[in-house]
Amino acid sequence: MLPEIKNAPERFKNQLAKYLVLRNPQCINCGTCAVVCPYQVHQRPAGYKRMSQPVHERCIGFRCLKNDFCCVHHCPRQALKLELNPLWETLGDARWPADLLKATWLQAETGEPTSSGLAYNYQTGQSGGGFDRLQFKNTDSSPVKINDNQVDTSLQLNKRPFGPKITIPIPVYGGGMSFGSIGLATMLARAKAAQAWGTFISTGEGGYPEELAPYDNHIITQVATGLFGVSERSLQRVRFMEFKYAQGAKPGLGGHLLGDKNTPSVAKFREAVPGTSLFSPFPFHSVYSVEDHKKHVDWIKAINPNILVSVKVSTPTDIDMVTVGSYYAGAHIVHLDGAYGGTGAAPEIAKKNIAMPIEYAVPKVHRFLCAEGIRDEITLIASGGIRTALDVAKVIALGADGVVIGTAELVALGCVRCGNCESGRGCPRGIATTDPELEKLIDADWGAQRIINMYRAWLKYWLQLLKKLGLTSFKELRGRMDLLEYGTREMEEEEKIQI
Amino acid sequence: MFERYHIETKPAPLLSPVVSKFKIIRQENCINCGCCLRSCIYDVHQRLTADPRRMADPEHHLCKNCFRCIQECPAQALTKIINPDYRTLGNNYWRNELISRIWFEAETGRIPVLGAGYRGKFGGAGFDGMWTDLSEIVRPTRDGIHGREYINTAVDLGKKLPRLSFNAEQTLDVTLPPIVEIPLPVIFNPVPLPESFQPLQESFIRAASKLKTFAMTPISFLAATQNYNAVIPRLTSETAEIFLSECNRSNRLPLIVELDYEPKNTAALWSRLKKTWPNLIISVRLPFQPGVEKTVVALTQQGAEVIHLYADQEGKELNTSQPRFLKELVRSVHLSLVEKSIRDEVTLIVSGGIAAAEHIPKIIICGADLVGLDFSLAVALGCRMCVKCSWTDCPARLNKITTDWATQRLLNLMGAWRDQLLEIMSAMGLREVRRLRGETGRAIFQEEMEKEIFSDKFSG
Repeated sequence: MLPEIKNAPERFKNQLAKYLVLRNPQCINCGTCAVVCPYQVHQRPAGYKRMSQPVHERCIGFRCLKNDFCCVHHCPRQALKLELNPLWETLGDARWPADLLKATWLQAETGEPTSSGLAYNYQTGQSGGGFDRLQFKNTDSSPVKINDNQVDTSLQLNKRPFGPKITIPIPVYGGGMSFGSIGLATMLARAKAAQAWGTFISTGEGGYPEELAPYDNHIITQVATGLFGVSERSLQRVRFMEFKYAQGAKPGLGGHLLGDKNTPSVAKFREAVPGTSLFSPFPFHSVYSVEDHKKHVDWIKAINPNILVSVKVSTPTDIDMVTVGSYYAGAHIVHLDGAYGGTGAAPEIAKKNIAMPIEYAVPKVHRFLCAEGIRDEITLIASGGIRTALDVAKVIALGADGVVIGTAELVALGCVRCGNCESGRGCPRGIATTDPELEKLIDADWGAQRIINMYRAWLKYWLQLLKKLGLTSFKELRGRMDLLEYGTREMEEEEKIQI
Repeated sequence: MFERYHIETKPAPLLSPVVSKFKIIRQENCINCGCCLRSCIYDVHQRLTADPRRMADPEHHLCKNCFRCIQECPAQALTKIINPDYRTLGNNYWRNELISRIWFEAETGRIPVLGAGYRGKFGGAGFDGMWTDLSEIVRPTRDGIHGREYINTAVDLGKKLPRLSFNAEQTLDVTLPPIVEIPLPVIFNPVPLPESFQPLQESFIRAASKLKTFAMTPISFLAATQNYNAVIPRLTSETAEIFLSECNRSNRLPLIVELDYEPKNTAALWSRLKKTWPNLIISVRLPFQPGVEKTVVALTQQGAEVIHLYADQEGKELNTSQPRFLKELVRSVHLSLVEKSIRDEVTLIVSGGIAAAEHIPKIIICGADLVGLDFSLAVALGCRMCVKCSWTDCPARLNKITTDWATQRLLNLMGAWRDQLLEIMSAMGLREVRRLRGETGRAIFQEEMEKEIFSDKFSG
């Protein structure tokens, strides 16, 4: 049973839009525009004489000027004008351009894929490389007709002969975000969505509050280098744990919670002094070899023999060897966190410059594991810069089994990627904050619904894509790099022209 | 006693108004309801003090781009644009975001830390197509800048002998060449800056002195400066006489001098200086240009102890229509010395186009020993790279700055850059910047990765 889609509109009054439809005083409120526009940009509520403000976000932009039904042409007084919203370029960045943010917001609101008829480009970002240059080849539709119910999107998390067998219905679970980096409402929203989907979310380092107890079956608890919030009980409550060796956004630098966000409630779980900056120093000082790492894994299995063990590592040049080491140590999952992932706070220098992007790491590891003959015994999870339903499919085609999503879930909650999560009171939009006042901006049920909706939309993209490729499961897509093409320079040129 | 190297930083805000990235526009339909004032947690919106019924102009520089005021305004009276001044800041290489980052670093002395992930391009030409490695678990030591173990950023200027030899009495049989250790792999090289920057020379020297490194200095400044141990006078065969007479007059001698490379005269001048002062370290300055590898090898074989190679301000090769970038140039020069087994006999200073903290470890990985900073020094003091350099009407008001303030800005920049160097080194698990040199195996190059990962699968 899929979780139900319910409409979950944005919290704020004015929606950010790519185009502006401007109405000048010449307007005689004749209502022609409301009749011709099929996108309901123009509305006149029943019983009112005057037109409402245009709903800018629904407008499809300049290409509508070619259409017969375009309001600008039909207005008898030439009172309407279309222009690009100057605000649009202040939103987003190369990795998450405004279009991608907006498309994700719309998916979170409606649960539907962003219609290609709309103005928002959901295909790629503007980073000019990696996922933004990789595309599925334009193949003819599959010769065999496949129905939705024949497509299997599930992921078996444990491929080894020992440990619990857990399968999740979509190849995605939620990435580690600690209590402290995000607030309780956001945590609950993610946990509720994970429960509805039958998947998991990671609570990051720092323990997790009692309020999450009803969702224990869908919680991943993290053991990171600072061991904040780790106790026997926290490991026994859940079915799934992850070791965090490194984090893609700040590989080799450990964790970092600035003092302002270390409020008394956060400090309690971390057994720390409120208001002090908390560093989770890199690396595990008890692990200097694969044997040490095995000892760690054994230690967890002694505390909870029935727990799924994931090892989260960043992407150094010897990532293939690290993966094999984790296999030897008895981990079920190796989770590669690429360089361009999200973070609550990281030095800017670390985000770009240390360790390789996930697009390089996944094929490298996949090939190595195949050559070693152990590819089908280990679950390879990718994360770090995977933004969209299409990125998920691309990274699976590069060789991953599944994906961890962090930032996209926050975008579903209304994140604009302003990057102020780390300082002062934290997120001004209430998502990544433990400030008692700002935290109230998020309602957990509303947030859960937004995340549920986003994944419903993603599922539709996946079904459509797999059917088109003639595949019946993500298992068949894994490692199929032959289905991808790597855009050449011309593609970039094209992008430039579009801009 | 062991003294830990430390750069004293303290806030030194810009004198000219900050060029903020965003501009909030309050349109005429504002109803002065104050909703924006309540929604903004950064105090961008305030009421007018003179007339509290009305809203004041937004404080653009405080805006952190959260969109709340815009989305909550009941009259849809607020919008935001990219500040046109910000757009014109800098140029293709010295991009506006690099300039504002240097300003932040020079103002605060801190490492820029932000939430959310990386925002930029995937890779790209130059330094952007290069990533440094990290060490996942197998690491004997490290704890970053917060940690217990010391990471040494010191480098040497001078020649190292390929081997030592001893006589029958087991004492050293060779004369050790002079060598100077500086605690960070940076010297100041204001040489390419416009003439108008000359009044700032004293700040460069003073900051270099506090950092225990060096600043390139025109000979005309020698008489005036107190910090003789922090200058590298720059000589040509024409100005050498002035230098000699100044040294004789003042009875002071710097530790290092730099000669502009002149194929005909340099060898003679070099020998003359060495004969007079055997312990003077002599650096030879030459441009990156086609054939530079051969010149560097030849100079090293002739005994050059320090070679300073400079590219243009964008890190590009000079005197050619198809310039290579700094990264490729340095790798090539480094390798040609390695092939001749003479790499340790010479110190390579590399300058031109070092515009961000990460460029330092990256160029050292490519094979430099240390870098020379040029335009980043000017930007630290507020320069906007506007190119229309005029001392009297500098938009950044460089003509108004004091030596104390400028020195502090330079110390702050170096403090922030050194801390970021430590971050990179600690992620790599290295304790010595000397060991970073030429470690291309500990870096990831975009063109090599694309070939390894994608070439056999994709055409094009």
